[in-house]
Amino acid sequence: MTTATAGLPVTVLTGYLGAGKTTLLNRILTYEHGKKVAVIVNEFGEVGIDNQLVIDADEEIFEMNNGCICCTVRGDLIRIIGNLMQRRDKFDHLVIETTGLADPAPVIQTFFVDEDIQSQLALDAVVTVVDAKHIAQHWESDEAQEQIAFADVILLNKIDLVTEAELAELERRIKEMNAMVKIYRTQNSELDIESVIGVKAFDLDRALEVDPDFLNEDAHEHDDEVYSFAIVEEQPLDSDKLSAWVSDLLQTKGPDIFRTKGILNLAGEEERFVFQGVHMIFDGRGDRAWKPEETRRSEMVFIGRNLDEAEIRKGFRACLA
Amino acid sequence: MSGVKTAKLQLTPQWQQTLSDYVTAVAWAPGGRLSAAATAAGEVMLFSLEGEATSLSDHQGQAINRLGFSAAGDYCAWAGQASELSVWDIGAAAVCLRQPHGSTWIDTLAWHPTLPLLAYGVGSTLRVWDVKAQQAIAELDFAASSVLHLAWHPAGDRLAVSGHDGVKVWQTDDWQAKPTLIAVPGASLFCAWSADGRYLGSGNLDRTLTVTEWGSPPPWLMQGFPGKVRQLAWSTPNMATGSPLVAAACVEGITVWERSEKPKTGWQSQVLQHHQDRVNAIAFQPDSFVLASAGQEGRIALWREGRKLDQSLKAFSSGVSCLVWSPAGDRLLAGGSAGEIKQWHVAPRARGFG
Repeated sequence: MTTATAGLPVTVLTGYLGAGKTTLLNRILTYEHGKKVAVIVNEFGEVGIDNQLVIDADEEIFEMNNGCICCTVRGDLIRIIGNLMQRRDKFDHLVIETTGLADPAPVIQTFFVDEDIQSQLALDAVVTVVDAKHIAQHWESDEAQEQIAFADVILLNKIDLVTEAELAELERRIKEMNAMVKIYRTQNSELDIESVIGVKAFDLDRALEVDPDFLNEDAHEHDDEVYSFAIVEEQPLDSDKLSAWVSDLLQTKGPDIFRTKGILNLAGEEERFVFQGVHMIFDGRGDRAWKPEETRRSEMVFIGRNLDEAEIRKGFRACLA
Repeated sequence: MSGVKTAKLQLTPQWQQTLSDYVTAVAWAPGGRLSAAATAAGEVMLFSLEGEATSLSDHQGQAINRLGFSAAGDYCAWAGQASELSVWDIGAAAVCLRQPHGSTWIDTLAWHPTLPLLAYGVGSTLRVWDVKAQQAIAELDFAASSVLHLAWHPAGDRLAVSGHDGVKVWQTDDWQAKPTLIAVPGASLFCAWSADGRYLGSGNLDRTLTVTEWGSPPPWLMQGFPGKVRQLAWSTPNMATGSPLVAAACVEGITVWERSEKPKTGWQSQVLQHHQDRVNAIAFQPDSFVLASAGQEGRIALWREGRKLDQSLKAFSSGVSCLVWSPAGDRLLAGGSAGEIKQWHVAPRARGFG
């Protein structure tokens, strides 16, 4: 599996109905005026821009089970994007707006699994709009947690309706679920649009940009079922052991491991190894050489549900060269 | 090109035109006097054998994805992005039926092999129309997903429908009866009956091909494909074994399967490699084992006996998106991803002049 980086950019918008997704979509369309933006929507909101291509599709989840990959993809996206990509004057940017109750994983996995989509498009970022006032009511739901856990960018929206203390607590809780996400506080989904487009969150060249404080955190109790943690290790890894361990881990814990990302220091290699994963789908390759002034160290981030952090740390340590 | 020296078929270009965008579909009318093409920009064109073009429709930039002629050659139907089915009456030279369907992109459509019945999918709903009587015959729910592909049994008594979980087969004498499900792993993308109606093939998203011998389950599951199996084609005649060849297009390759002489050993395959990019379409020449394939790199290849490269020609500067043989197998019509459309005459190469 390889990740296309030169293809047409795709933004995935998630969030509950009423959180401000459609407002953000309309802001993106206004910002991109003059460009051709195709929008695939699953619930018909008010997309109010003329001359843009808006396609209504019913969310269709297809199970895929070929060899080592067991996952779900969005059948409607494969079909519609296939039709859209035939046009010579294709769009410049595709936005996929999911329903409020959607798990983002099948959308993301579609971009890794379908060969036609993978070769022509590049997932830019998963952007989740969170209603700062009402998220408390949904906090325990699987969808809300998945939409936060899979996000590359979160708009913490409607900040005018909550206190600063509530916001700080929300941010802390979101960061604990997803240490890799960039959070923006917004009112009426208003922000610099360049924060949500051109993010290149799935580009392996920008493998890991994590808050250094998080990397240095020790294991601790978590408030929610969904949480993230990082493993940092300076001692080099044995690539055969690591590959066997990762493959076993994804096979057995794949459904609970939402996303993984990392930079690895492999024994006997002059280059960094960068990788990312979504559930059982894993994509990795050699990257640039380590710089002489750099500390060679592996950094690996896991986001998932009910992950056994101690067990995973132990498994990782067993791969040291 | 080494294949050309031994080529047994002669392709003579007859005419070429350029439409405004990607040619999504080409079709020949039964009888072979008319052909048609549709584009991603919404054009629908009718062509005479000499390439004289008549525009049937222009959907103002809304793609047309499927196109087909009725069995008697008196109607041509199309559908696409505009969520509308249109039927053109060739004798009257006018549209005789327009059925709008909200906002669903329609990309499946198939005419009955003998009657003026048309089946098409609108989302997960399968609709069957009697075009002559202008009335709906059936409205069925595929349920598991959108309808992804349709194929009438050559005898006209069954309709196979691809989608998530597999192929559902309805009986035309009792549309309300529960369809037979041929389960496949994941989703069926394309289904096709063999010309004798004995086999039903399904190209699957899960990188497999399912072949069912009707009435004698379980189906065969062919594995080892490098990508989704996007299209299938059956040869019209049978091999010495009593079964036809089935070809499957997947990524840059074509796999041709032949049923083994020993009934219990199943099917044996051979991979045909030549195309440098995605194979967009494959079709057997009627009444022969010559297979034509269209590649995204712009080439059309002809394969003898379903396996030997007879010749390869650079058809278009960009991709070849679709192709179809004339009913008599003496002409080949291909569409391109930049709007090209071209017809060739195909004949056995005269001896002594090769």
